[in-house]
Amino acid sequence: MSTMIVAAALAAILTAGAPAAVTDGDPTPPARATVGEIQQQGDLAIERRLTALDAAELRLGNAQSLDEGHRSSLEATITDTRSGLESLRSELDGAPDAASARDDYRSIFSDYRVYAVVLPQSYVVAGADRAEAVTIPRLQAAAEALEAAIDAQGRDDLADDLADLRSEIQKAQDDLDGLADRALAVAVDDFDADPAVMQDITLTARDAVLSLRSAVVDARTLADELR
Amino acid sequence: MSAARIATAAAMLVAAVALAGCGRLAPVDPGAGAPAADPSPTSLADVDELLGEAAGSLDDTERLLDDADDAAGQETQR
Repeated sequence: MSTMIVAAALAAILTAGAPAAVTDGDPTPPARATVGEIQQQGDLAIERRLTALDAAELRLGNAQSLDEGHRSSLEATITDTRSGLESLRSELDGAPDAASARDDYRSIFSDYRVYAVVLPQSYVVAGADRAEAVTIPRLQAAAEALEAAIDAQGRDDLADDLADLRSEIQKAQDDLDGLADRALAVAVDDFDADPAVMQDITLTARDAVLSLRSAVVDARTLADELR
Repeated sequence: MSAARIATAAAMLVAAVALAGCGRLAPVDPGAGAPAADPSPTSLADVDELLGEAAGSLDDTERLLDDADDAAGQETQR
């Protein structure tokens, strides 16, 4: 018992004496953090976000199947977010006291939502556009060719398989219909009201991918049957 | 060989080439020993190519969705 009391007392002393640490994982820095510590961690958090935004912008630039209207919206969001974070960094670096620095630090998380909204938004829109612009047209063309082959060979026994293939494509189209616009419409306030808002959109896109994967398998099976 | 026979052989050769050019001598699958079935193997090869492209673009979409999830996961960590 006495050993436990001593250990607890020692732990309390060590904790009290430990230097205050600001972690990027916590949008609220510890109460004992100094202005310098908050500024240092805040600058780091901003730099990480700016780097991630640069990487996303580069990928969007290389995404050939991205709808041009979607590209403009995403690039505008990234540009606005980047300039907001750069202004915030200046503000944070010039913060006169810990309270101001703490407010600026919180703002990195609460006002921009780079990881929770901006980046997922960019990647989901690019992914959905790619599926709509490339995957679905290829599968539809394959279904047309397979239908012609079925007719030419008189393989009525494959009609149901062809219908399954078309049904999977249609399911994916239904899932993807308007999904990119839904993703683009998500703002920081929407995330605050419902933190799962982007996750729900990503899950719908994943459902579409599953349907399209099934369609590819169905089409390959049909092609093998027709050889 | 007389001039008449040479002329006849030449005429037959010209006729055979002309028939082949018109598509009346259908190409034969040497393995099957019969004309190619309809649909031609080329159209099914096209299907393979289309499906290859579809699968490749699906991989791209899946990578982008993974990146979206990875980014969302970092909000609580960073």
